[in-house]
Amino acid sequence: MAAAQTAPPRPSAPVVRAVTVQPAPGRSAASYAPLIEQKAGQPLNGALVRRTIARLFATGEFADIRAVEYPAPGGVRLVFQTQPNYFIGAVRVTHPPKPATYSELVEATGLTLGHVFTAPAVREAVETLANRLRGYGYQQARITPQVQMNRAEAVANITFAIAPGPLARLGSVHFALAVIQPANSTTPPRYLPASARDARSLFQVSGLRLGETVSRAVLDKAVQRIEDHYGRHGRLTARVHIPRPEFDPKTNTLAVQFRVNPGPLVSVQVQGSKISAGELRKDVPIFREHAADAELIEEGRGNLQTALQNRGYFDARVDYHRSITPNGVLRILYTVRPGPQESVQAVLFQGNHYFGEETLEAHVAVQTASILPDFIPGSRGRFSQELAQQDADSIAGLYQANGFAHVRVTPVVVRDYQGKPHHIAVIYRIHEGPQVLVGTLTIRGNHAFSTGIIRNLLTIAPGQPYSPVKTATDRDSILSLYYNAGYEQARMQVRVHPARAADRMDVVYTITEGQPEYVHRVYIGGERFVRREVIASHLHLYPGQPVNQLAMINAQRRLYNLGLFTDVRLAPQNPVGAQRQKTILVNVHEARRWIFSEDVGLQVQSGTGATANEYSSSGSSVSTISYLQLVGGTGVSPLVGFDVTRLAMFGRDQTATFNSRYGRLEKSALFSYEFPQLRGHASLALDLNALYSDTLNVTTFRAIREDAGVQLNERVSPSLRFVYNADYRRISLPVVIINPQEVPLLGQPVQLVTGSYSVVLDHRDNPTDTHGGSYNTASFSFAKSFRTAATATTPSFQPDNFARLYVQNSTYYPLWRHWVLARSTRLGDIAPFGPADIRIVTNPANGQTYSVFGGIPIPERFFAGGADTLRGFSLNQAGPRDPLTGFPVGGDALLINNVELRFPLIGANIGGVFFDDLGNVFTNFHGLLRALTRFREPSTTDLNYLSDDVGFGLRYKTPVGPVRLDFGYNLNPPEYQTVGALKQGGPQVIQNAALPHFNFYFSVGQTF
Amino acid sequence: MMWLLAVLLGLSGGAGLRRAPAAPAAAAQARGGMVVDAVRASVNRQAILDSDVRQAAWYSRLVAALHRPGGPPAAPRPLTAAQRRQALEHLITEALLAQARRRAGVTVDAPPAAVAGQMRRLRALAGGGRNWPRVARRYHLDPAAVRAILAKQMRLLLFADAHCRPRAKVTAAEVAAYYRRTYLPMARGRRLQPAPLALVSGRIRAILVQQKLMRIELQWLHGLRRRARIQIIQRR
Repeated sequence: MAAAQTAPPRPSAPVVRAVTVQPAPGRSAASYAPLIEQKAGQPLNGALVRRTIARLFATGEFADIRAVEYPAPGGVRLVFQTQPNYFIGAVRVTHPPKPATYSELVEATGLTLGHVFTAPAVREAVETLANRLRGYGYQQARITPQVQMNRAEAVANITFAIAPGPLARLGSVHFALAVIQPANSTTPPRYLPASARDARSLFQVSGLRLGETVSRAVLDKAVQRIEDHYGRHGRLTARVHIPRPEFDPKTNTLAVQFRVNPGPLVSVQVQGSKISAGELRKDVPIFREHAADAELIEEGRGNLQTALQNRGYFDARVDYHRSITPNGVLRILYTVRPGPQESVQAVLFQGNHYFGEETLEAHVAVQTASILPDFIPGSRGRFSQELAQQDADSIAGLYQANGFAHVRVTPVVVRDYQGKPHHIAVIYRIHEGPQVLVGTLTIRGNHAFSTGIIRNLLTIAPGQPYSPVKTATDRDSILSLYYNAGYEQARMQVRVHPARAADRMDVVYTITEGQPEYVHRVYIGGERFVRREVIASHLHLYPGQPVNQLAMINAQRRLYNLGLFTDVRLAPQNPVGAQRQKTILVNVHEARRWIFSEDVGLQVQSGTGATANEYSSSGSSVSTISYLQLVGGTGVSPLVGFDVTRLAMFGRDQTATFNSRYGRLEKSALFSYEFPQLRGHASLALDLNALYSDTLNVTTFRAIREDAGVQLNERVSPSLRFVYNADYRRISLPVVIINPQEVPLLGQPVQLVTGSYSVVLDHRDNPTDTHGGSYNTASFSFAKSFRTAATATTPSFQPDNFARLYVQNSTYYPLWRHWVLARSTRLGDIAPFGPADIRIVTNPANGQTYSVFGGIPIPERFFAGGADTLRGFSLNQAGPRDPLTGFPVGGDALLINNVELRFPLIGANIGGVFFDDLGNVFTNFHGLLRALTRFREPSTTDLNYLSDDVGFGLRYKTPVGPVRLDFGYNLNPPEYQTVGALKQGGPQVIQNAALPHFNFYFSVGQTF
Repeated sequence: MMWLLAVLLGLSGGAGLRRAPAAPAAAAQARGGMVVDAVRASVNRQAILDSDVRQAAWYSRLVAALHRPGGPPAAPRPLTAAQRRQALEHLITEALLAQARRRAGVTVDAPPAAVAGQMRRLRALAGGGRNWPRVARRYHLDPAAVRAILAKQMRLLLFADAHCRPRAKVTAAEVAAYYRRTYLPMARGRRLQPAPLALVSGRIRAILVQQKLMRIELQWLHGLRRRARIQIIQRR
């Protein structure tokens, strides 16, 4: 192929018969027509060709453009030959070695999605990654970039294959000590090798060990330790640095040299006031910054002054003097003039008409004294002259933002307020002045949006207050409107000039819209197993749509919410090119599809302290066995769990999960399959689940539950959702500790089909640690019971059908300084209905008989007691009890009211709680109503009363919610009847037993 | 201002340039095609074309030839690769300055009188107004293009001067130090009676300002280059 030659000058320019452009991938030649200035039919014009090349190049789509002319009949044919640019697509890193993370290393490459790909940038990225890995101790890391060009999309996908090699180890450590200089010396220090003794001592202080793996973090820590060591010995300005360590690739070791400059002895003293050593260290940053420059000394001065002002010495003044003693010690002396100790009794406003006091108070930092004792900082109020002036400026700013350009605010301090010594009042005298209003408002340059649409966004209007703050807000609103419509180049200018009328300003907004950018197409890359259509369905980005940053951010959020990706990036390809039609690049990195987790734990709870004979479901008595004592007493049960999750089932956003738990109290296996967005509807989520569980969390019975269900969640808004549930359950009770006559009936396996409907309205600010808002839920369910099968010893039996209602209302009230008052009320009722068998039951203790309807299956009843309900009871111990065995049997009605006062205790992470729990489980709704005025049980067989417990708890904040330890004291625990022999082989007699007052719980998450 | 032009011309050598790997030439689809023009380099996505490089190279040759004793030759030799390279470096520097000027929002142009004055000088060096178009055409330039180049260069030089001169401050101590360390030894070395400081301080100050200005401008230009994305298209 003959190389094209440069055109020699010609006497007359030929006529161009045709003009063609080689388009970039994915574009049509016709799309470049508006950029071509050299038209067909015109004589060939060098200037027009130059301008055409410049305009094509400005699109950013081409790395090279040549204009080549070919002979054609009657003239020439002009072809713009192009070499397209490639743009960065997927950037991947393989095998990131710990502690580096995948996202961190991808970020470190500096290769930005959508930007032009260049080989030098890849080389720089390799160097940066190598440096980053060296910092982690991988001195011999090898990074191999592999670039895969997608010519059809003009995208370059880059993968950095990392072979980290072994972690480097510490080979040798040397110390060089600076010759100690006078404190005022300006010459650089001279370093000499440390003596063997000094080196040994410093090595010990550093905490390093020869042969251990070494990284930048390890060396930084060693530096810190040495500096702190010198600091403790008065050399507060000690500095240690490490020149670049030498690496020996043969032995994979680092030789590290520490250059230690102890600096002079530094003495920091305070005169004129008592400041504790701890407070001095906290307020004077010299101690932690290892430097004594003027800024730090000044910062210390300011901090000490503020600390004194917080104690009520509002006029405190702190000065400092820096000197060097004859023996070379740097002495910093803070001299304090504390002034009188006062308290702020009142903060008042005078002259305000436009704003009320409540509005102005929000702009004031000066505070009045509180009822807290004097030793608590801030109890005497907050005040200083500077603070009062700042408040005055803040109030003035508020007025100016509302058109009062000439406002004056003067703070005045009144001492001995109301004749009381050391009481002050701060009065803000406000001279509002005239309010400047908007005269005329003109909007120019808008074509994409009508003036009416723009005016709706504005905070100013003719006749309204004018202020520069408002015009700045308007500017932001208008530009946001344009940016979200694809006008990335939009600009706006604001001009203001005085109007003819007094105190009026005419405002002109001039908009330069620029050209809008539109989505040309969407290119998805990086996926391996997830189907592309699943990703596309969550993007909501379509060709022809304006390029909109907000839409892209929302698309990114939706993809992250699927839980399938650890990294999601969206960017327009060639963002700075002049081309208006943009390809949107979407790059995802999938999470591991299989997730395994194992856990080992303990279940701890306080128990009843009671034991009883166990009765098998056949009705025959079995001697007391030890695990019931364990369950009944305050005990511990080990628990192991194993979970498997499989994401992206069938390449879709569906997840299958298997959870299992095995322990003495609980054995369970749950399989669930989730459709987070059913048929593409973002608001609908469907769960299918199947459960097997064998639990002993109620001392009365061990329940084996087999459950299969469907749950549909409909999220109407961020705070409102509906839940629809349909279940089939089979519950059998192989062990149940109740009246043996009831066992054949209530101990039979029960089969139920339930349907339920729930509403959840959640306005809490933070579900795991709520400080404000409310939480409301109401749930209604209907259950159809099936007749049990007859056995050799028991007849067939029809349990009750029943309807169940459960409502909860919780509210949270922020008080002051992170104190929260939280309350919750829960009400539940189960109403049996439908044909059920009646049975006659005899009390073996006294021979009395009574009739009982079919009965709600025990596991379906309400139970309460424990860490999340009534903390005065052990787990599930509240409510009615079997009159024979004394074990809880649950109830058909529930009322619980919890009140908690939550407060910070130590720092930001440790808090405390005072609580009161009131309520109980009741035989039925009538029992609940009767109990509302009872605080003691009417009899040992009628436990329908309101139990009340109080207590204290500790909370430790963690990312998953607070870990809590609660101590509950039941003020009126129940006394209940049991029947048993007083001694082995003796006659059965009626006895009374009582639950203990005291219980404790250890768990995660708030009570409600 | 010609010294600053020399600075611009002298800032070369490719320091800080990032050269793109030899890009495969845009495919020549058929034989016999003649390249009319092509992209030669880009500076922050602003293209510099072959025609721009040719024009700048011929302009440099013309200005140098006009200042030669005996005037410009009748038939100038073709451009060499080194001259084209040098012209490209000038254009890159000009592009960086033009972009900085746009970012700073400067719109003031070179005074027309100054441009006209420079044009008069060039015409006089070419042998007068009648000769001038012929001489320009010999260097493949037309008078309007020369005027445009001159105006552009003056515009950029004014901007560079306005940007850097406020930073080129000289203190009295520096003037005194120069007088002591440089002027006095030089005067003694030439066996001249040194003038008092008060008499020469103005001149010394002017010299020091120029030196500082040059350093500041060089640093600034180096900074612009370092931060810029410059790509040169290598064609075989």
